[in-house]
Amino acid sequence: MESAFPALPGIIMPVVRAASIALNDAAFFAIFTFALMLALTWRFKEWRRLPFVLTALAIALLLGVGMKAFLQEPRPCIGSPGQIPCPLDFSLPSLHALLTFTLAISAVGNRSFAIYLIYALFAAFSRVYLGVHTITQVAAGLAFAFFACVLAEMLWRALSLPIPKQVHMRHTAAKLQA
Amino acid sequence: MRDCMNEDERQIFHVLLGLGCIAMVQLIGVELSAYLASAALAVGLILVHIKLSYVHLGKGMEWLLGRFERPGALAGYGALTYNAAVLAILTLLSSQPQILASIAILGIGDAASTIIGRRSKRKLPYNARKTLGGTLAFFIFSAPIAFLFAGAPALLVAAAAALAESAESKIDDNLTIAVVCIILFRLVGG
Repeated sequence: MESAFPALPGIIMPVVRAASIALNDAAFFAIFTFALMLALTWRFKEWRRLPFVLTALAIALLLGVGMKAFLQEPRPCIGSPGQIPCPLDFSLPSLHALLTFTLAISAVGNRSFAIYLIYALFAAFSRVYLGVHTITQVAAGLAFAFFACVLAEMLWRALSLPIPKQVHMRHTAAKLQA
Repeated sequence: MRDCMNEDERQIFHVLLGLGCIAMVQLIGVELSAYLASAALAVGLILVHIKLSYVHLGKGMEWLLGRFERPGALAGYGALTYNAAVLAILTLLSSQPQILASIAILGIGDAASTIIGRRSKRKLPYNARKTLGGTLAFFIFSAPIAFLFAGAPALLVAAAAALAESAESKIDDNLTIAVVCIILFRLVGG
């Protein structure tokens, strides 16, 4: 048993590296994320909140792409090459972190939350591990995910659509006169 | 009256959090502060999830959430928005003086506007829920501190944030103020 522990990093790291490289591919990331979303929605019977989550993801994507164009922060791997060829686009915020944390935040209060959070944390870690983002850029993805969920709710209300009961984190509660 | 007192306590807590964030950035720097803020936001999300799952968080935590959250609000939501706003400021602004000025505007301005605003009578012409006293207090209390950190541009940002806070909005003031600070400081340079 004791001899198994020193070997553990040797087993885990190639898996982490392979998963990180796979998630780096935009097509694989999109397909895997969508498949995970469908699987968890089916497993935990969360169909009713799916349109809201898709709206939040669309807003997150628009927000992320827009902010990348506005902020124009270069990749950290430009100066010092990382584990993979450096992507050509800008880096702030991390879109991987932004989209996966949007999934996690919109799942707060639901049974799928833990799995989404683990996925988001791994996606965030993988971006830093590959050297294509700094921790700060990934953290910005988390902050933006919060904003994306707020904007999704605003849009939902503007369209007079009822917020699904499975969306537990409401952003319009308890306003105060001041 | 009791609710008013509780609101004052909440706002004092708001100011103390802001001062704590300023001290944290001064002591450990922007990058480490951003790491801490993101860890705190992730932990906060987990706590809110646990709370929503009807699990008791423990006497101390329940007291804290009940004490510093408005009646009817999701427990811990205010702290989460504040944390998200600070994290956005820490990660999207690159100049430390601008970050400190933004946190001062967020922490002190918003709290001052609520404390003074609830005691003022003259309503704003464009928003009956807010008062002129509250909007002026936002600027008067936050602008000098922001000016100390980031100079003259901070006065403009504090004024814009005060106006944004006074406008009718369905989203949390913390988020609105952070967005205004980030966009304006980015536009004025930094």
